[in-house]
Amino acid sequence: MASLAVGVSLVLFLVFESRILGDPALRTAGRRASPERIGAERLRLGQVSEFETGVLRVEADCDRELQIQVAVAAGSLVLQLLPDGPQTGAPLEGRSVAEVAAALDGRVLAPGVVLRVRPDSLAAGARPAAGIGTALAGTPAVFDDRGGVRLGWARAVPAPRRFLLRASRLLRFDFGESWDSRRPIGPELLPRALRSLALGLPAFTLTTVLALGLALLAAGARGRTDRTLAWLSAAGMAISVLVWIVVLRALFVGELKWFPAAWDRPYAAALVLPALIWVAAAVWPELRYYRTVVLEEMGREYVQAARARGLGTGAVLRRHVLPNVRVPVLAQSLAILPFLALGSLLLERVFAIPGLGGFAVDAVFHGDEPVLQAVSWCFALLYLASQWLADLGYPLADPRMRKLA
Amino acid sequence: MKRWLLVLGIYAAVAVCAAFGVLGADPMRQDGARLLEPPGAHALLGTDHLGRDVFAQTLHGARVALLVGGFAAGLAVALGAGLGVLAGWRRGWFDALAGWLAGAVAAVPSVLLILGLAQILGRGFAAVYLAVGLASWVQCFRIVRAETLRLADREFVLAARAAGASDRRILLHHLLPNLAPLLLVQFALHFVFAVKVEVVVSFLGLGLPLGAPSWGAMIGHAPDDLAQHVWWPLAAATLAMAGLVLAVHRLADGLRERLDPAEAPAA
Repeated sequence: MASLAVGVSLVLFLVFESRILGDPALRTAGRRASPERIGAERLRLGQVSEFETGVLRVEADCDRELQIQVAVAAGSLVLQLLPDGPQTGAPLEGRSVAEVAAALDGRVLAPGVVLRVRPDSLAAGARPAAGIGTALAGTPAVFDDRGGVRLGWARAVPAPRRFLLRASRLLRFDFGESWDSRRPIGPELLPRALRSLALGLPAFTLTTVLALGLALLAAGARGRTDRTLAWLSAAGMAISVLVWIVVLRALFVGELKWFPAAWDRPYAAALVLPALIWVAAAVWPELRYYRTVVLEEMGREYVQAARARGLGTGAVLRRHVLPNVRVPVLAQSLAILPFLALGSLLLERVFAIPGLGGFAVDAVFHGDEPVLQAVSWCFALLYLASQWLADLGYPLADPRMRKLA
Repeated sequence: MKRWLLVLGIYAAVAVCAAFGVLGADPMRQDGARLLEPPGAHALLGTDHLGRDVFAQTLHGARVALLVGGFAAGLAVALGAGLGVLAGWRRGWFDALAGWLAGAVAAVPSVLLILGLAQILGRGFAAVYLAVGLASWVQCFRIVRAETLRLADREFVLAARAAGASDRRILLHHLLPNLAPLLLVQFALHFVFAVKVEVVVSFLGLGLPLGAPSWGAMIGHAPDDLAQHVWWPLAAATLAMAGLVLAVHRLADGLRERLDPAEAPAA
């Protein structure tokens, strides 16, 4: 269980915070953002532990050039005046940014001097963001393209340490605050999960009962009823969930106006249509699954024995088949359990239900990665919980499994 | 099963024709004078809110759907099957590691993972393939691993090994042919998943580049369309997609039935 938790945080880290899929700081700040903004973003993301900018600033308002080469050695900044520029004194080597700033202050700000920094590590025409990128790798130079020069210092935090920091925060349920609303995420999760559950639980129960009932009907009646239901379930599954939502909503809210359009009091009324749409979209795959399960059970010998004793189809289904499909039903229900708390992402978004799923979709929309991580993490915990419940539940539902457990 | 193979063949033919511009006008050409025209003589399936021909869009949508389904499912199956075969064959630490990774990926809701990846990777075809493929390989991994474990203990593998066959030879010449039908079924299921997910991703404003003629984009615009009683783009995309999904589903069922008559859902 602990290893799976670490695995989940690793997946989340790889997706959201490592730089495998692109640089998250550039993503949130924008590629053309100012170096300060990108640097601040890196600091917030924990990619760098220190970041200073604006230590040196020289305006480009004259014709003579002063060329300074920037390099880094042993963790400190090296500024080397190039010989073809005007001399301004001894090379400023091995000083910290602040020291260099102090040392250069009087001279380069003198009128008639342009400071041009030509770092060898930067490709010509590189964007400021790329400058910051190299700063992370160790060269502490940041350039803007207006001719002025700013030097910044950033100290990179190695990825393993970032991962540990992040994982330990997740394990402590410290989700930080949403980038979008700037509010802490933690307190929002439970009420949202409960609203999602208020939608998901009745809808799921209804779906399961309906699907199981139809499956029993199909298996009992065989023949044309069975074929019709099989076709219906195949067709129902072939239609996108989104189509169910969009069409039924347009029909019942837009045309007939039977149901409220917005999330408002009484909340129960606002949940009725989403729940019904959930059933309409979700019942088909369930029906297909339960039909297979029931048919398989119908072929067993005990069913034939019961029939041979002269029991009718209804009695066979009720007394013999139904109790024996408990395990598949339980397995299916437990597999769905984590999704109930997450709610239907689409339904919650379309009906503006402030649940967990809608929260996550909005977060995707706004690039709000802390929220996505928090929701994914909660889901992962529920997933673990459902597996644990399955381990407990199977022996209860099926005595044959008690010996194994 | 032949019937459904034929249906799939028609989709593929339409897609190829659309790709080479043989079939259907330019699906993205906007005609400001003919907005939201119902199906009729001018446009067989009407026009959409930008005056684009719905019929042409539907045809070109087949190309996009086959691309998305094919590449995303290909990636998922390649990843899942590759790791699954290795895990089942090598066992030991590799199996433990791959199983752990699969568990971790499975514990993150796949739709959220796809949406997150799509958001990070930005709009684009490759982004959709990658996002869906990377998020959905676990099921294939588990099934292929279990099957490999089962096959690895069978006599023909033992015989091959006794005859001095190398690991490589056993994997390629003995295991792979036995896994192939299973992989085909997995590919079909992942294909359907990818086509369906593309709709959701498009609806949420991520995914394929704007202007790509996808069924997802057509369905995604449906809430606005339906408010104006414009049903034809939605209907065309839904039916086209349902046909494809149904065909692939049925083919997968048929394959599974041939593979293992006892376990297939009775149809």
